[in-house]
Amino acid sequence: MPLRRPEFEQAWERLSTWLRDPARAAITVGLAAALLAPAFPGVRSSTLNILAGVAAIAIAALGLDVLVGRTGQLSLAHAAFAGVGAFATIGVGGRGAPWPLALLAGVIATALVATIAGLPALRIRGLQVAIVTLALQLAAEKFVYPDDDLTGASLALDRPALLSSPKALYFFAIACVAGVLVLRRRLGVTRGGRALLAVRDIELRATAFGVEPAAAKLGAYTLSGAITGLAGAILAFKESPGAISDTSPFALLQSLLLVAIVVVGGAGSGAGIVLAALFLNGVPQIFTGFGRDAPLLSALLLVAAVVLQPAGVGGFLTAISQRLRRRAGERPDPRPRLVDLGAADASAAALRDVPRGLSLRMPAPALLEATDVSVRYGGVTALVDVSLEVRTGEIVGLIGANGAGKSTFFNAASGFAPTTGSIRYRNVELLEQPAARRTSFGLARTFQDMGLVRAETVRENVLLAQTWLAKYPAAAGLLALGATLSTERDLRRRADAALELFGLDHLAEERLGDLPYGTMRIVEIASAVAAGPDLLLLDEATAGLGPEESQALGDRFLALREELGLTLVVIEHHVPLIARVCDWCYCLESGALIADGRPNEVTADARVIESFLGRSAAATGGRKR
Amino acid sequence: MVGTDRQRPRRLVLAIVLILAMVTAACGARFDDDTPVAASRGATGDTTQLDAGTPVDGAVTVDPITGETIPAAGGPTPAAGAGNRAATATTRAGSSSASAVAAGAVEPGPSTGVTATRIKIGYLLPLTGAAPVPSNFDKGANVYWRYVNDRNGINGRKVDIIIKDTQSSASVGKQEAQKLIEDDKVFAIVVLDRLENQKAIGAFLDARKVPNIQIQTPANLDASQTWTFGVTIDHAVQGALIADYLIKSHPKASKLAIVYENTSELHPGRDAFTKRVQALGKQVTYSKAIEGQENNFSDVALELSNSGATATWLYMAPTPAAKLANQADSAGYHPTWFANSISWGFDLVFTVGPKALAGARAFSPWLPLTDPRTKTFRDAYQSQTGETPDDLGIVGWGVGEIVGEAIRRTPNPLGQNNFRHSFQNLDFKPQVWAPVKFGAGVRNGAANVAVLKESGGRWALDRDFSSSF
Amino acid sequence: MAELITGLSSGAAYALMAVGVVLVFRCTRALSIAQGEIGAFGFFLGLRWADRGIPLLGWHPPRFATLLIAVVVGGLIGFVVERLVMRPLVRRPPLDALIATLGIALFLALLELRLFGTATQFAPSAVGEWKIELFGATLVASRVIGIVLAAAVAGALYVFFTRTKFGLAVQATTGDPTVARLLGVPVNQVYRFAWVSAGMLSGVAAALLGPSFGGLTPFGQTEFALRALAGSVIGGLDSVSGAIIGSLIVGVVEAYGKAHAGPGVDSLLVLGLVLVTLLVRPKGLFGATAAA
Repeated sequence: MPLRRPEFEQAWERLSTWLRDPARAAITVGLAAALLAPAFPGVRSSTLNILAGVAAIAIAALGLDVLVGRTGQLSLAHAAFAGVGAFATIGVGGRGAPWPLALLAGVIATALVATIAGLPALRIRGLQVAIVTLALQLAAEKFVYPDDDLTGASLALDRPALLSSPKALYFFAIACVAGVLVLRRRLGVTRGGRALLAVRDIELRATAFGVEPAAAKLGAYTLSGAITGLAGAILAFKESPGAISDTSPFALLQSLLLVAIVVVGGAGSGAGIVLAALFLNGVPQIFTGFGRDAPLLSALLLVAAVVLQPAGVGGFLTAISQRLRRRAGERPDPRPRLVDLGAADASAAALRDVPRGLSLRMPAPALLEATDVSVRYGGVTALVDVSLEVRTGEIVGLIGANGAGKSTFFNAASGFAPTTGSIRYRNVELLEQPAARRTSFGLARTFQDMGLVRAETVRENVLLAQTWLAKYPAAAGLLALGATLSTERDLRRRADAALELFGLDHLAEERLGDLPYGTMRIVEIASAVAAGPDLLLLDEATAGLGPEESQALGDRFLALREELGLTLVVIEHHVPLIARVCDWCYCLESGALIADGRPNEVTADARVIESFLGRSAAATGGRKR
Repeated sequence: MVGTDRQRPRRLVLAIVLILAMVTAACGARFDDDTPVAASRGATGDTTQLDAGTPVDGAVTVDPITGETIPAAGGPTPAAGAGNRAATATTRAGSSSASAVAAGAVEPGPSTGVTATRIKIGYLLPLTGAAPVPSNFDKGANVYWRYVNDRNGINGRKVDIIIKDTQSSASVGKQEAQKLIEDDKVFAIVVLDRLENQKAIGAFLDARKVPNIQIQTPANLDASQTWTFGVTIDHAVQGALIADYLIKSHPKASKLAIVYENTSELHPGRDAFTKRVQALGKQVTYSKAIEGQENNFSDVALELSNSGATATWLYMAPTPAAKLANQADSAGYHPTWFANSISWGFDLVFTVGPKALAGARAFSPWLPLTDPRTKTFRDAYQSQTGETPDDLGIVGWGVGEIVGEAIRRTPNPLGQNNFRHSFQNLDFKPQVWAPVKFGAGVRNGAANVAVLKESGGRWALDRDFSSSF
Repeated sequence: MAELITGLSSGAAYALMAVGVVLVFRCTRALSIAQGEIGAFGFFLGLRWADRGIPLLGWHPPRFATLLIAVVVGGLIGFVVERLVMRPLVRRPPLDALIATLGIALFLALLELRLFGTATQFAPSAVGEWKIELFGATLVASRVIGIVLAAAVAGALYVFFTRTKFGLAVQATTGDPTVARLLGVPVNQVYRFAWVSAGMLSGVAAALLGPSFGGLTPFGQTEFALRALAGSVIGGLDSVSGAIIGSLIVGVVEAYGKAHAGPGVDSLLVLGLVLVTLLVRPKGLFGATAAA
């Protein structure tokens, strides 16, 4: 069938848009070059053999980057992990198992070891993790490496027939690099990867989205180990026939060079890391002339990269991409679009159509009922015997001076504070439920100082907020198995509906941190709504907004109730807004409830004026002008 | 929006299928340049020529005037690649006639690296990395072959050598070996590295059917490795011999100690030593594994002095050996230190442990620099390089003597197989090296060692080559 | 008993290094892996100059001057490192600073390899050849001096941090550089002070430990520094006395491990010690704050 012109043009356009992302372009061009490399004159099988090793190093670095880029933790034991992969591959393959099984053994063994090595990371952080992995690397080097039984040095690994030639091994290694890049991409678009970013940047709040930090962290170690184990297995096959006799590829120096590759390549950038591996590891081996100075150059580049270009090569790729987009005039208006609030469509209405973890029988009369709630941090009492209730369909205002305990009440309800007393939600005692589960009951909240990942796009953040709805296992997500694709499609549809509802759809692909603060706040509310709550707790939603935007947000509160049937609790300093939208109002002072009633009654209360309104009204007035 | 959503997974699947297809296609391709070099090569016609000192791609080579090593820049150029390919073609064309020519008892085998006037020999040396040898090592080799070439070479052929760096790593070593075989097309390869690396590289070269000469000889070299030749004493044999020497001859010790680097390749030597000491009715009062990169030997020093051993074998590289001896010296422990020379039996070690190693002894496959029989070497080294010779260069010279002799004894047409055959029958007394005697099934032709003794910060000959004490 | 003594004396050597690590951490919140190699480079340079003469001057400094050269060069490197590398990293995550010091250690060690070769550099002790015997263990001069110096430096630092105005300013800096600046603390001076003195301490350590451990190789001081790091993590990264006690513990555990268990077990024990300490008490035995 002859190709029609419009179709051709359309395909070309799609291809050129796809390639406009320099990281994608680099990977595509690189992969093409890698596949064609053996055909180039002057590329001998010895060169291919070296390149296969470089591919393995790149894979190990990509594995390390799952930790560095996704969890912000540094491991100095990844060369040892690669060693585990190689030794396990030899240990199984050298005893006569077929090679795919040996490879799998290398991957699984390393994943296991890495998971165990990740256990301390659940309790300690950052620098300490680095020190522990450093000690681990040294212990492995001195305890495991000299033992032939552990390293399999006394065994002989046969070169599998399929990988018998350097060319075959080379293609296999390149295919593995491509596979790992695809896996990383999958990680980015599924719940596992989102959870990791949340744990990295907003660990303590991630549970509000249904993220389980411990599982996410261990998962990262497992995945990182599995990938690095693959690198080890490739190295084992590269050395075959025979076992690995010297352990220098798995020594501390190599761990440090892996860190150099990740940092120079740019944490989080697959393309950058592969390029860095090729440059730092491959070039010196192929052009032996400056082999002696290669590690020296790596060290120098590492320092230079940390100081001058922390985003590494990947940072350059991103910068190019941004410049290209800017030139193409794709910089959108960073403010939310004005939306016709009455016309929220069916997909927005369906946002609340999610499975609930409790009985949906209408509670009477209160949706949320707090009785004698107290919060104590050490010796400080932040909340004293507060009792209040929120009825279905209400918009309840929570007012009080700074430090009065408003946010603390939200923390108590959403599980972020040590709380005594009772908070019943739909007749379930919330204080007996883990924070992550409360989200599934239909409780969502925003934070006073933004509980989102600024380094990610708006859409990714809205997707992150729906983590509790992504019920497929994180591992299945990586391999696109089971209901992953359909679930992700649903979540994306929900995200788009929520963004549209708040007039943010044109900003979906923007990095959150690049947007004005006011817009970020709206994104946070949109994220909370996307999680499909019945009760929405909004902490100072209008902070950072101008008067018109505040006004519009007030309309939106009302619309959320009218169109979506949400119940809202809002912490607000903006009295006119409270008066306009709230049905009921509570006022806190020094952790205790001092007044409640209709907004106009409460704001007229003498104690309330004394404690809060006098000062704050002046402040609000000041902000207005 | 919805449309692209549905297309996304399909595109992913398509991409994966595409990649898999490409890989399968590529793997299924024929690998003509990967067939073993030895399989189809004849005895005539390789026209590649290299003058002494011509920089070879990516290799370390020697300036013919100054004798300095110059690392050559750049990788294999397309032109060089094309040249080699042409050479290969010529070789293939000549192969059928060659097999017809070979009428003697031994097939000459492939003549890779050999022309009517030239022979190309590769060296794999640990010039950098974790456990490198100082560069005078390769200078010695260069000096020997220039000495030979200046005297019309061997049987009319001059010898070119190409030295590659293993970076003290078996995997790099194997990579470089592959380059030597496939890119440089060398005739034979001389290897030196840490025992475990040496073993791995040797096995690799044997599998590729390239004659390879191992300067260090791992214990119990595999008898099936018929392309590999050891020219220094087997580590297990040496272990027992050391016990004999220290107990029966000098210093007639009854309590002995051994400290060894924690590598399994050293276990046969250690075990042979311990067993022989016990068989002689004496005691190994201290046996300890240490780490090569360790700095802190206070514990070993203390335990050694408590052990009462009067002779201690430091079975390790020079760096830890000197550090350990220095720390033991500080702790007041002064036994007769003993070295198996390839590890720390070089003069160099006395600059690191000047006082502590006084009176140390070593088994050595070569003569000390102070011995008059090394005069030819010293003169040649001095005149060629303008530098004062040291005992590191002797190793290069001595191994050169052995390889040269084996080539000399190989009848024309020279090929890798009949070279191997003549090596297998070699019985030869080099000038500066212990006599080597191979024979049917013998993988390691060295059984003799000289005993060296520290004297004024240098090694001096204490007992000439001998195979028993 | 003898193991205890050798362990303590090794621990004291690590402590000399750990004090520098703690100094840098307290002042700049950066964990430095380069603490060993900075001074080692100075020491190697000193040996080379003693051997071949100082370039251009042609003067051969006496051997004992290696100590002085190591200290001066160490301080200089500290100065350069602070100005060019560490200062731009002040506001960045602590991991960036760690990676930078790692790069510096790697660079210096590889440069040593390139310039001075792989052979062990042997130097006679700069402080004489006498030694003392203690419970069957022998302690050589440079090690005794090392122990005394570690204690002296620790005492000096204690006085500095608690009694001097500048020291108290340093304390203020550690919390938040912006706040410290607002309070009028010369933050950049504090950083410079920390790195220069840590560099000089590193030089002292190299010049004393090199001879007392029978010579120094490139990367050798980093091996010591890693144990010092373990010691400071155990004792608490922001506590001078904690780091010293931590280093002593590491030294003793290592000595017992080496004496009574197979090779490599000592590293395993140190790993276990670090792990247990961090899990039970993340801020270290005597630390006030946990490293982020």
